[in-house]
Amino acid sequence: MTFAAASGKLKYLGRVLAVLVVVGILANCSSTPPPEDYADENYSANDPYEDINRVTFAFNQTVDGVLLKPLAEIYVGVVPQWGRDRVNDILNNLGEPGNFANAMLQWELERAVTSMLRFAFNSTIGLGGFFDIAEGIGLSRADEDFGQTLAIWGVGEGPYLVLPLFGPSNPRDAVGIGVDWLMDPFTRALRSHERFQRFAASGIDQRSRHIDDLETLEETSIDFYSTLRELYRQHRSNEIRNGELPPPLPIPSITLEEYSDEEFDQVSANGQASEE
Amino acid sequence: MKLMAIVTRGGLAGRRQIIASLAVLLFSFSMASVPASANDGEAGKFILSLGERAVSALRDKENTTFAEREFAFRRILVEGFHMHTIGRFVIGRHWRSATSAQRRAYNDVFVDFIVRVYASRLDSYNGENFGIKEIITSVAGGDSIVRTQILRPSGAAPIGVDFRVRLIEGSYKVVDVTVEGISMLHTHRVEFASVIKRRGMDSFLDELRAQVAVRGENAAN
Repeated sequence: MTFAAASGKLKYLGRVLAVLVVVGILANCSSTPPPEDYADENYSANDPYEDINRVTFAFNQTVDGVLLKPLAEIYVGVVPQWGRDRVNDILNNLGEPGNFANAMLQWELERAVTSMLRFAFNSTIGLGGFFDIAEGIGLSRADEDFGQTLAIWGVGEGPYLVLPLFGPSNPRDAVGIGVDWLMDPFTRALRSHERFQRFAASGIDQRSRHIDDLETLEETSIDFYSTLRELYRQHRSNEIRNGELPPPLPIPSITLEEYSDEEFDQVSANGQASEE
Repeated sequence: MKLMAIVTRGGLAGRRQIIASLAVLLFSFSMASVPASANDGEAGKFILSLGERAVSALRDKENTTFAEREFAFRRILVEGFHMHTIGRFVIGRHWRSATSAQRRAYNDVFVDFIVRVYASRLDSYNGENFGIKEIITSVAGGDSIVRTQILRPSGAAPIGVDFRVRLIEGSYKVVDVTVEGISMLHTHRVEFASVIKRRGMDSFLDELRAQVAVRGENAAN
């Protein structure tokens, strides 16, 4: 190893350490109530920057409407389903090293091995990720990212943030995105225009799968912003739990006979759902 | 540019699964794939028969109008779900500060609203397979949680849907549906609270009615 290469490695390490320090600071100033705390829905939503977030959200919606969604529609119109599946498989395969690294950091050995085997099979027999043959032999994708790793390490999610272009996030996941980028071997292997192509491809790929879904969701929401906020938060905590059952909602019991306000409130107040 | 390369993995990829899960939601099942090992509990049977009815109601797109499918869906929802419990949970503490007229208005519109929203969200899906994964009797409140999986065509990952089932007056009722870890009750509760806080109870009720009215116009098609 030449001196230059060694010093490059050291710089890289230094950057990772710097990020970890930032993470530490964020962890201290952004610890949050547990998601099962329903004492107050504002507390639960943890969105102190809602006004700014709504502006960013509107900006993102505009960008989506004039750029991303039209591109996705063209993509769906031009490329048949088979081709789109291959693009998706290739992009997913590029993400496997990151899944592996984060599963290791979370000491989820089974998921780490799964990601490693998936990458090995799909990159070779699957022709460089062109086909997801690992899925066919029972190796389902185990998505892990550094935001989840931080959560496992005990870092709270912090306040909800809508990032320009990135969409729903929070300090923990935003840091996670940065660290994932640093950890990803393809970040270093690809040239900058290739990185842009990968970015553009995955943006259009993901958007193209949800043209109708998102439209229906927006039409049937009375507040699309808060619907997406809630979906993002619950989705992330589900990912962190790897799909295990969440703590049950404290749903008080009422029947038709006892359907009187006082009794319901009483049950509510005695249970975890106490709302005062 | 480097940062942008990751945009889609964090932001949009997160959204992708959420949206897919939510869109498929409750009832796009057929009974073809119930595994032999499925726990044969009563709560599970209840969910299976509910699913069976929902499939036959929602699957036949060619010979029915949206209004007809929605009507069938409403009967299933009202019979299989405990809408009083659900309605009261999702409005949360705002029930207490509501006037009795507002409470009546809320009770009048809530079921219509839920029927419209979910009939619309589910209408693009038809006949996907549905199987029971496991039945868990939860400690909290003694409810059963029936974990199911909706299998999708073209090899996409199955979607996990959990039904929280409660024995109320001798019959099973669904009190919450969780799709890939996303609770419908929790989501609506936060959405409702957000609208009430920003615009007040009366505007919130107007929003619910408007949603019902808009979807009503579409239903005619």
